Order: sequence, then structure tokens, then C-alpha cells
Amino acid sequence: MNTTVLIFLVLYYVVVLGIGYWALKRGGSENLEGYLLGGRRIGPATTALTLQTTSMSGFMFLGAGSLGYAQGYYALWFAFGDIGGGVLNFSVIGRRMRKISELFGALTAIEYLEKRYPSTILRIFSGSLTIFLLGFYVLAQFIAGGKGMALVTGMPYPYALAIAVSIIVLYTFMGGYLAVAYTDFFQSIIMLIGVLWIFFAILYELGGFTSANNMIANIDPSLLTVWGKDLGFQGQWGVIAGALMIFSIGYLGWPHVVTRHMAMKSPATAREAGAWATVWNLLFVPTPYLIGVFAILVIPGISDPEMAIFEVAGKLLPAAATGLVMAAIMAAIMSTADSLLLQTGTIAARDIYERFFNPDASEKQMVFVSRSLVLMIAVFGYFIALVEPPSVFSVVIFATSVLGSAFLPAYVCAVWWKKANTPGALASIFTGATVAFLWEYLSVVSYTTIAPMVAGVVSSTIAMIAVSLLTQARYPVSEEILDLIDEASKIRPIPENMLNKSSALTIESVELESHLRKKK
Amino acid sequence: MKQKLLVPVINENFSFEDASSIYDKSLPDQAYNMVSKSYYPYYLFQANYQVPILFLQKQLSVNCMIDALNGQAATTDGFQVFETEVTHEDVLANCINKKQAKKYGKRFIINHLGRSLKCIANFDVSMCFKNIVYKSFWVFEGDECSLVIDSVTGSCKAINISNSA
Repeated sequence: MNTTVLIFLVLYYVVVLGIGYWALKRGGSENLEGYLLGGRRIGPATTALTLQTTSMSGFMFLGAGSLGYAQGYYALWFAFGDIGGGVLNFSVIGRRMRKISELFGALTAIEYLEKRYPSTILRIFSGSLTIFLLGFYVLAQFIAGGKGMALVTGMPYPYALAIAVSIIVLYTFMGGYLAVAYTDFFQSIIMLIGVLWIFFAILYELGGFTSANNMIANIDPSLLTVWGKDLGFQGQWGVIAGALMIFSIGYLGWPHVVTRHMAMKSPATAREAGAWATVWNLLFVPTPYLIGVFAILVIPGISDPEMAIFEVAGKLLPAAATGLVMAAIMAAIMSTADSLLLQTGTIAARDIYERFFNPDASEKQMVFVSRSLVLMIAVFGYFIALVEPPSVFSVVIFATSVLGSAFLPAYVCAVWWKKANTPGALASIFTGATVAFLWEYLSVVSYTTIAPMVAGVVSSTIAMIAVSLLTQARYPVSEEILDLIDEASKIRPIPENMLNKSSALTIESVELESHLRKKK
Repeated sequence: MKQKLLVPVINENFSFEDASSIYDKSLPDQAYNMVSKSYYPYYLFQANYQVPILFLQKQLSVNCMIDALNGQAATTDGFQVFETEVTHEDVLANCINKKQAKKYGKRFIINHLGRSLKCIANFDVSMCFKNIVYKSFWVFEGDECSLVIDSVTGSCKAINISNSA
């Protein structure tokens, strides 16, 4: 990388820091509360793009490009699932989950599960499983950060990885300064501009879509089909279904995604933010996959396909633009990694340590537990990423498959099926995680042509339904929880135009209803 | 004779006229039979905390209200209160004590700061009790359903308070 790239990379961070400084200093503490404690002055567009920056991880720049490079247009199955996933998530569990978590008073996704399905075992198992799998996802971000840093700075991978991991951990411990919504908003715009810039540059270089496709057809026509290289996935609908599901419903198992539903300001905000997120997704999500496909022509025979997008940017963009795009990519990796580490630390401290070991833990003790775990993950992650780095793509797909398979029925049934009880949830989480893990580990997909995610979700759903029905008499769902599910499902008779306002009164109205009945 | 209490109530932004207008818009085809007011208790704390800004710390504070019936906490802007005399039966009784409220409030603030600031840090949160304040709700009772309207925000919700429910 040349000096201009590095200068613009540094310049980018100076601008981001400047925005953070301006946002925090502007107007004193009253505005600070607005930015930091609830985003009261931040509209749905900023909210949506802020969320997208966090959710778009290193996978999009390394895994997606690599998949397009290796499998051609087959990669777009993953993109289709991702685009529809946001809307699906908001509509299937978003509104109801927000209301019911508010009624439960749950602050974390695991606490929410325990309150809906009262069980200590469920909390321990869910918390431990989540920490374990989030560790994998963090590992993917470390690898992505290390590879990116190595390319940008020209340093050897071990040193670049050490710097990337250190920055991510430091960022997670310090935070604050860069967390204001406007910096995320700025980064999301730069990410979008950057990826579209690379895309149009590669299209221009190749003379447009038709010309590029003709050139790919001359190399290997199977790359232009939706069945993958050499038609390797032809007719394998179980694999295709897995590709579609992984980033659509698979996300429903992620605690940092689920927590977002719990933290939404109102259902109306969710709807509007969901629309903005979809527009952004439509423009952003398919692009890295397509860049990967066309990279076959620009940088043939690349040794590490995960570097395809970085290499294309370096080859086709002016040095200044490359610096900005690289910085945006690094920002995406870091913002995802620190969110994941934060979730992992919170679950370890609140759902395991405070809940089971030290209920009166002080804030300092909780912070110590969180930071210790983050440091442990960083050290382990560093050595795994150094000694035998798996591909970002395979790590992300593995972690998403297992988490989605484990938690999807539990989260969905929590708000949609009143008969879903504690034994059902426990069986579902255990079965989903085990089946998806073994399916992946034993490569069952190679002879069944069914993706681990499909097998995991189907088996966990069957377990939830069968065990809940079989144990209904002995372990019925409590009246209190049934009332809350009822309350969460109510919209009528308030007219549609009043939905926004009615939502704010959920908790008080339950208490008022009870008080007024007694009074009568 | 009904027992009277003197309670601090959060300044109302929605008068009876405003509330009845909301009722008419929300349930245009239903007439109400009776209007009353209920008073909902909240513990009010000032949460003081430190925000990490690069290598510095910034001391900040925010009002934190904890629902005295179920312990739900939320941050709030500053507001004015006025004292008014109300009948005992119009006031909802507290279900949690001050110590519990403080614990729930602190937990909420720490969690909220960590999530909003996206960092694992010691925010040194301290909770300073200020008062128990009440929010009034207009209650419009109709034949089919009733509507409660928040006198501060104008938010409303249909409820069923008939004994047959």
C-alpha cells in the first residue's frame, strides 16, 4: 500500500473522531443524554443506518467477496436471504418481542428467555452456548481485521493481527467517544459509497454487466448459474434453503440482534427504520457478492479469495479513495467486533456471574468479569487466528447456523405460541444446537445435501412442538405469562393511527386495568 | 368519608378537553359514561455517572424514574410537579420499596450506558433518591371498553375494566 492510502486512512479516522467530539461537546449534558441514552433526537433513518453499520461485519467484505469469487452467482442466494431478513425479523418478532420484554422487565436476550421459559438450566445453557458461539463470530472479525490491516500497512500478518485485536479490545473498553450515532451514520454512508464505488469501477473496467458476464462465460459458464461452480449445488434445494435461511431467519438467534428488538423505541419507529434499512440493504448487500464474481476477471488466480474486494479496490480505485474505502471496511469490522464483545461480556457478567455466583456484585466486579472474558477471548482468538486461521466465511456460517438453529423456535414461539413451555424450549435449544453442530462437524451435508441450518431449525422446531405438547399437563405456561403474551398481541381496538401512542402505555395500562377492576 | 392524600403530581400537558379529543379520535363510535383520574407512582432518582471520552471522564447525571408497581426503569427529562389532594382509592399502591427501586434503577442505567456507549467500562453510577412522584391518567369508561390517557404524553390505551372480563 502506498503512502496516500495510509494518509487518507488516517484522515478518515480524524474526521470520525471530529464528528464524535462535536456530537459530545455540542450543547452540554442535555444533548448528551439525547445522543447517548436513547437517541431521542435521532430519526428513523439515522437509527436504521446506525444499526446496519453494526450488523454488517467483516463477513461482507471478506466472506461475501470470497463466495462470489469461488461460486459465481450462486452467492446471491445468501444476499437474497439477507435483504429479506431485516423485514422478516421486524415483522415476525420485532413488535411483539419489544412489548413482551418490556412487560417482563428483561434487559438481556438471555434474561428474556429465562423469564418467558422460567428455568435456571435454560439460562445457564443459553448463556454459555451464546458466549461460546459469539467467540467464534468475534474470531471471524479478528481474522478480517488482521488481513485488512496487513494489506493496508504492508505489515506481516502476525503483527497486523496483533494490532487489529488490540485496537478492537481497546475500543471495546474505552468506547464512548465513537459510539455516538452520527459517527455510525457517517460510517454507514462511507461504507455504502465505498462498496458502490468499487462496484462501478469494476463494471467500468469490464465494460458493463453483459460484457463481464460474457467474459465469465468464456472462463466457466457454470459460474453464471445459480447452482455454483461446476453446477455443484444443482437441485440441492436443502443447501439452497440453508443459504437463504442463514442470514434471514438465522439472525433471529443472535442475541445482539434480538436485543435490538427489545430496545426499540416504538413499533412505529421499527417500521420506519425497517424501511430505511431495507433500502440500504438493497443497495449494499448484493454488491460485495457481485464484486467477488467480477473479481474473477480482474484478479484471476488470487491466492486468498477472501482478499478479493481489498485487492480490487487497491487495483482499480485512486489511492485516496482506496484509503477511505479501507478505513470504512476496518470501521465496519471494528464496530461489529466491539458490539459482539460487549454482548459477550454482558452475558457473562449479568446472566452468569451476577445471576448465579454473586447476586450483589458491585459495578466494578461486573466490569472486571466482563473485561476478563473479553481479554481471554482476545488472547485465544489471536492464537487461533495466527496458528490455523479458518476462513471468515466458514466461521460466520458455522456460528450463525448453530445459534439460529438453537434459538429461533424459542424466540418465535415465545411471542406467537402460548403452549411453548420450559421443557419444550430446553429441548428445542439443545436439539437445534446439537444437530446443527454435528451436521457441520461430521459434514453430513455432503451426503444429505441438506444444509446444517435447515436440519437444525427443523429439528429444534419439532422438539419445541413435540415436547411442549407432551409436557403441557405437567408444565403448563403460567397464567401471568399467558396474560403478558395476550397483552403483547393486542393492537385493536385502537385505530391504526394511534398505534404509536398506545404502545408507550403497555406496562402502566396493565397495572391500571387491574387497579380499576379492583376499585369497581 | 373518603381518605384524602396530598401527593406530588407531574405537571399535566393534556387537560380534560385534550383528553376527550383523543378519546373521540380513538373511539369515535363509542360514547363514554364516566371520566375519572388515577394516580400512578414512580420513584424518582438522580443517577450520576461518568462517561469515558478517550482517556478522559465526563461527569453527567440524568433523572431516572422507576415504576413503583413493577420496577421498570427509564430515563427522563426534567419536569415540574404540583401538589394536589386526591382520594386514596384513586392512587395505585406501591409494590416495591425504595431499596429495590434503587437497585432496579441502577441496573437499568448501567446496562443502558454500556449498550448505548458500546463499551465495557465502570461508569461509577450512583443513585440519589429525590422523591416519589405521581403521574395522572384520565380514565374514560365506556360500555364496551375504556380508554386510559396519559396526562403528560397523551399516549392512550384501550382497557377492559368490566367485572365480566
